[in-house]
Amino acid sequence: MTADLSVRIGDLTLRNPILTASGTFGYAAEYETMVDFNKIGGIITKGISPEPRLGNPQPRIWETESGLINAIGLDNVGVEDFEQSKLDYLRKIECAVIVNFFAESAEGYAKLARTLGAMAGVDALEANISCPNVKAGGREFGVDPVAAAEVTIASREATNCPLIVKLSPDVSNIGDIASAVADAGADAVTVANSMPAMAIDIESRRPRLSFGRGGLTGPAVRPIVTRLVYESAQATDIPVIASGGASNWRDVVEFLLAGASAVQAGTVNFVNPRASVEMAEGLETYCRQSGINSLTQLVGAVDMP
Amino acid sequence: MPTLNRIRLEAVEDAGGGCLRLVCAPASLIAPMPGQFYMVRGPWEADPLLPRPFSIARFRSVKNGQIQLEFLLRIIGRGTRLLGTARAGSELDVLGPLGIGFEQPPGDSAWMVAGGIGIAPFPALIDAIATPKRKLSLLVGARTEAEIPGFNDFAANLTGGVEIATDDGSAGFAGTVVDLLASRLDRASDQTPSQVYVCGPHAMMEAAAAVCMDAGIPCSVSLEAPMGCGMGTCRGCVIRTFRNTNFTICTEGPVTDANVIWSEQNSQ
Ligand SMILES: Cc1cc2nc3c(=O)[nH]c(=O)nc-3n(C[C@H](O)[C@H](O)[C@H](O)COP(=O)(O)OP(=O)(O)OC[C@H]3O[C@@H](n4cnc5c(N)ncnc54)[C@H](O)[C@@H]3O)c2cc1C
Ligand SMILES: Cc1cc2nc3c(=O)[nH]c(=O)nc-3n(C[C@H](O)[C@H](O)[C@H](O)COP(=O)(O)O)c2cc1C
Ligand code: FES
Repeated sequence: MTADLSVRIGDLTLRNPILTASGTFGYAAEYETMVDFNKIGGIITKGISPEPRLGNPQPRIWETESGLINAIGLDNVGVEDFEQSKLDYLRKIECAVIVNFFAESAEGYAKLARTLGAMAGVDALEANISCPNVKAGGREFGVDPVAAAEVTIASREATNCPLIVKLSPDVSNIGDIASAVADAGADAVTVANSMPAMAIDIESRRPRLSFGRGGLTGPAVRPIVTRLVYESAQATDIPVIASGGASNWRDVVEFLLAGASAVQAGTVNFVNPRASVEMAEGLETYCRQSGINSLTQLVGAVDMP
Repeated sequence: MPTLNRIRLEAVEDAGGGCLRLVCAPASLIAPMPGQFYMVRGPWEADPLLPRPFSIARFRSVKNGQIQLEFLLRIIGRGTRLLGTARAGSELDVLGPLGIGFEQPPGDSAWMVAGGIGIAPFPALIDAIATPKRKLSLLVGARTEAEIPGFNDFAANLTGGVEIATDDGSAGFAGTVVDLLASRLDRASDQTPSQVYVCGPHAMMEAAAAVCMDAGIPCSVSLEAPMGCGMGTCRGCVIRTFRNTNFTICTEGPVTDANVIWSEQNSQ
C-alpha cells in the first residue's frame, strides 16, 4: 500500500510535502529536463516585486563550510513580466505553483497579493516578509510581530488565494511571530528565510559580498532551522513549512518530526537539481517501510524529554 | 539542454604550468559546443557544497555516439584542491553542457588570448574552427614561465604561431598578455585578425576588449563569476553591463561579444 503523503495548505492540497524554495528554482522551466514535476508537491517561484529589480553588484554569493551566503538583492523580472513570460509555462506543470512575493509597504503587499492571487495558474502565495519596511525606516517586517501581522492582514484581505507567510529566522521568539501571523489570517508559515551572515577576506579586509552582509543557507543552518520549526509548531496550529538546509529524505523526516507539515528544498537544488524528486521518493519509501500510512503520524512526533 | 551525469575519470594528467588535465571516460552525453561549461562536483558529502564551473577543454565523439570530455584545472582553493586529488577511476558529477559557446570567426585569421588557466576552452575551440586555410594564433600569459599551461598537444593547428608573455619576463614577451596583444596588433596592422577570443581574469578581459575595440576588431570574451546553479536560477553570476542592464553569465554567456558588456566609448 502506498502511503498518503498529501498535505493541505488552506484550500490547496499538495500531493506530497516536498516544495522547491524561492530563489533556488527560478521559474521552474529551467529544470524541465531534470525534474519530473509530477513527483513533487509544488514549486515556489523567485520572489516577485511590483517592479523588476536588478539586484546587487558582484560578488553576490560566497560559499562557507557546508553553506552558502548570498546577497542577490532580490533580482527578479517584476510582476508584469512574470505574468507575460513565466506564467504560461507554470500553468502547464502538474504540481502546485506557489508565487513568492514582496513589497516595501503593507499596501504594496496587498496590491501585489491581489494581482497575483487573481492570476489563473497561481495556486498559493508566499509572502516574504524578510525585507525592509521603507516606512519604518528600513526595519524588516519579519522581525516585529505587529508589522508581520499588518502585512499578513493586508495580503489576506486582498485575496482568497491560500497565503503562506515566510518568516525571518533572525528573531528572539519565532513563536510570537508565527502566532501573530496565524491570528492575522495566514494559512501557513514558512520557517525560515536565510540566516543573516557575513564573511570577510582577511587579505583585502573587505567583505566577501558587495553588499557586506548576506543570508546563509544550506546544510550549515539546518539544526538552527529545526529548532525554529519546532518552536513555531508549538506556538501555532497552522501548518509550518520548513526551509533551511534540507538535502535528503532523512532531513525531511527530521523536519516533519520537529513539527513541519511540508519541507522546501533550496540550496540543494544547486548541488543536485534532482534533489527534490529524490527527497519525495525517499520519503515515500521510508513511509512504506516503516508502516506509516499518513504523514500525520510523523508531524510533530518528536519525543521531547 | 543540460543533463546531470555521474562519469568516471580515465586519467588525471599533468597539463603543465601547475595545471591538471582531467580526462573522462566516454559516456552517453549531449555533445557540447566549444566555450560551453559544466558544473563539476566530486561525490563527497556537504563540503565543499556547490559544484564548480569548468570550461569544456576538449571533447571527442567516440564509438556509439559516446562523448569523451576533458577539463583543464588550476588549483585555487578548497574545491579545486579536492578535485585535484581525483585519480583514474574516481567519479565526478557533471551538469551540462551549459551556457553559450564560441562562434566561428568571420574570416581566415583568429587570435586566442589566454590569461593563465584561461587557456582552458581554447583546445576545443581550435578543434572546431581550424581549417587548412585559417591562420590561428595563441597568445598566452602568466605571472612567470612556470605558470604557463602546456599547449603542445593542440599546437599543431596554431599555424599563426604561439607567443608567450610573462609579467616577470622569465619567458617570451615581458609584460601582460594584453600588452602583448596590443604590440602584436601594432606589428601586424596589415594582417589583423578577423576575430579575437579572450579568456582570463575579468580585469584582463576588460583590458583586452578595450584594445580590440580601439583597433576595430571583433572580440569575444568568456566571462566568469562565482556560480551557484549554472542554470540561470540562483542569480549569483549576474553582472551589470555598461547599459545598466543585467547579464546572466551562465545562460547568456559565458561567451559573449565584448561590446555587450563594455562600451566602445569607455575604451577610448
Ligand atoms: C564559466 C567558467 C568556466 C571556468 N573554467 C575553468 C577551467 O576550465 N579551468 C579552471 O581551472 N577554472 C575554471 N574556472 C574557474 C573555476 O571555476 C574556479 O577556479 C573554481 O571555482 C575555484 O574553486 P575553489 O573552491 O578551488 O576556490 P575558492 O577560492 O576556495 O572558491 C570559493 C568560491 O569562489 C568561487 N570562485 C573562485 N574563483 C573563481 C573563478 N575564477 N571563477 C568563478 N568562481 C570562482 C568558487 O566556485 C567558490 O564558490 C571557470 C569559471 C567559470 C565561471
Ligand atoms: C540564491 C538564493 C536566492 C534566494 N531568493 C529568495 C527570494 O527571492 N525570496 C525568498 O523568500 N527566499 C529566497 N531565498 C531563500 C530560500 O528560499 C530558502 O528559504 C533558504 O535558502 C533556506 O533553505 P535552504 O537551506 O534549503 O536553501 C533564496 C536563497 C538563495 C540561496
Ligand atoms: S550561476 Fe546561478 S544564475 Fe548563473
